[in-house]
Amino acid sequence: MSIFGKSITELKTFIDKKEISPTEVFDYFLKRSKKYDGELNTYITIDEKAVGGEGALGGIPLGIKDIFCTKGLRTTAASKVLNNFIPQYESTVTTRLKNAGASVLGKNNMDAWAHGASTETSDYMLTKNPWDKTRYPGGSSGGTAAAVSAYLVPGGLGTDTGGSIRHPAAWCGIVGLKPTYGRVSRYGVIAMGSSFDCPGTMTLTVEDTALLLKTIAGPDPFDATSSPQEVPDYPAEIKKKKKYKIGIAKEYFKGVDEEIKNKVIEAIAILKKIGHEVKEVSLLSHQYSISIYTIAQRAEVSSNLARYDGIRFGNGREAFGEEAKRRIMLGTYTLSYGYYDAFYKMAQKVRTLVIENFKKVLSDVDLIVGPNTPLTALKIGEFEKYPFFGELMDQLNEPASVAGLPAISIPVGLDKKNLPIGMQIIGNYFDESSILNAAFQFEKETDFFGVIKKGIKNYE
Amino acid sequence: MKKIAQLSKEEIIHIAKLATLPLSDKEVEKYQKQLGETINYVENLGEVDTKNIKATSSTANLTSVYFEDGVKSERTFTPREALANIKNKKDTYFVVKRIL
Repeated sequence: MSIFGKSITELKTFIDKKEISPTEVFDYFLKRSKKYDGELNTYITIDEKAVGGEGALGGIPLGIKDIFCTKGLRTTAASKVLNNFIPQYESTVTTRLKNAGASVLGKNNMDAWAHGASTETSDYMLTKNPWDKTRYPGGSSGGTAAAVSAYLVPGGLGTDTGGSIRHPAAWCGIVGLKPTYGRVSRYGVIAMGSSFDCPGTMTLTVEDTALLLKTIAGPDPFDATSSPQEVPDYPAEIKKKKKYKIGIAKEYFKGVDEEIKNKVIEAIAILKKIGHEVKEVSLLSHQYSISIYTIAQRAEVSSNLARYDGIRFGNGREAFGEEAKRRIMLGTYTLSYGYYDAFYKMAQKVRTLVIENFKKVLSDVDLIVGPNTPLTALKIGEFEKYPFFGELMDQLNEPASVAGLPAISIPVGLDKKNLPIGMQIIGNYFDESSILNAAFQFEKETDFFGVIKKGIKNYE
Repeated sequence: MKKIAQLSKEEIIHIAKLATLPLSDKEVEKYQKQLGETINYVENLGEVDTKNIKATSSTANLTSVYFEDGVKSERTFTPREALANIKNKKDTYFVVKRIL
């Protein structure tokens, strides 16, 4: 029996039937990870002894962004400030995965402190896009995206503050879900923008996303912002026959590459063909969300990174890289005396308007569909050409982050350069079920045009 | 939004001091330019009428979240755990720079 290319759900069936053992599965992915990581640079740390246990995810090895604290296993947030940091406690999310029998095969590279959309602000290495090694994987969860796309692990976890799961998922051609803010606990996740941060999943199939989300979601007494909302049985939810009313916002097609636009329009036609109703809606320009995000997120960064003083753990503040310093500086400025009202408070007021706008639109439609990124993966070095790079690349992701809404990126085809194109589906608060159901229907109908399988095939 | 003039070098040095960030002269110059650019970018928020709009404090829509009473030791570090990542310690103490 060949393990190659099997989804988590499929692997789980084989393990349950005792056709393969958890150790065989672990060794298989460890071997692949070691074989290909030299060229792709997806891991900061690999744990060779991390074979999983029993449970719903029994024996499944995962790639975890190096921002989740793992007890006894080095966790760096890809910053030299935390170069030798060994957490003394485990994040809630990885605890839940391990309790379900999964294992953490490795800690994936990322933009340092999750600041960026390229994974090149990592203090350790530059992760390559498995589709074209001269290109960025996207970011900030670029290490996990690349590892899943090249099948070094069958799935993994990232975090999404302003697109950091959806963006690299689109550029690496996989499925990436940012849940509703509060759906998944942030306890033990190195904090970036605390009013935005969402741990989420990166997988090869929608069914795997449903399975992982079901495992990690739900209230946590250690995170006061985690929601008491009941967690649905997502793997069952996605199989229900549902028809949705889908909104298309023309504002989200502005400034988007023609090839991406066309593929997304074709994908929308497929959603219509399989029985969903499609109508035009109007959303506030994403330009406002970029500004709100820029101000509020930097403010939260400056506050969150204030704790790194090198006294109790880690290195001193001189070890911060350029991007972290830039964000701390801007955040400190906008929160400083005399500027708070002009920047932070103003941004939070406009944020209220963005939320109200989404609520109004989502009272009429169930889902909002559009492109996920304005461009496909850029060439390494092109960062320089785009001032404000991260914000521009995340412009279509930041509105849902600002509002705290759930959203997914799924592959809808390849461009002429043979690079994956992602489509974003935004849903209502705590309605991940509808997003996943629609994405699953789309997957059943199209198999994502073979994109995910093609991506894996490059590393057979 | 009130119009903000270009940031001065002194302001950058002041912000760096507030954030306890050691910056080189070159960095001061760089951030002076880059912070100014970003601030110009976010000025579009000034176009929005925000009179009588309440500022968002959280998107989670939760109110009054409390811990249950009672001592819980599950998250308490032992001294060994608390000192596991420290570079500069004396016995079971953190060593810090003197401030007086």
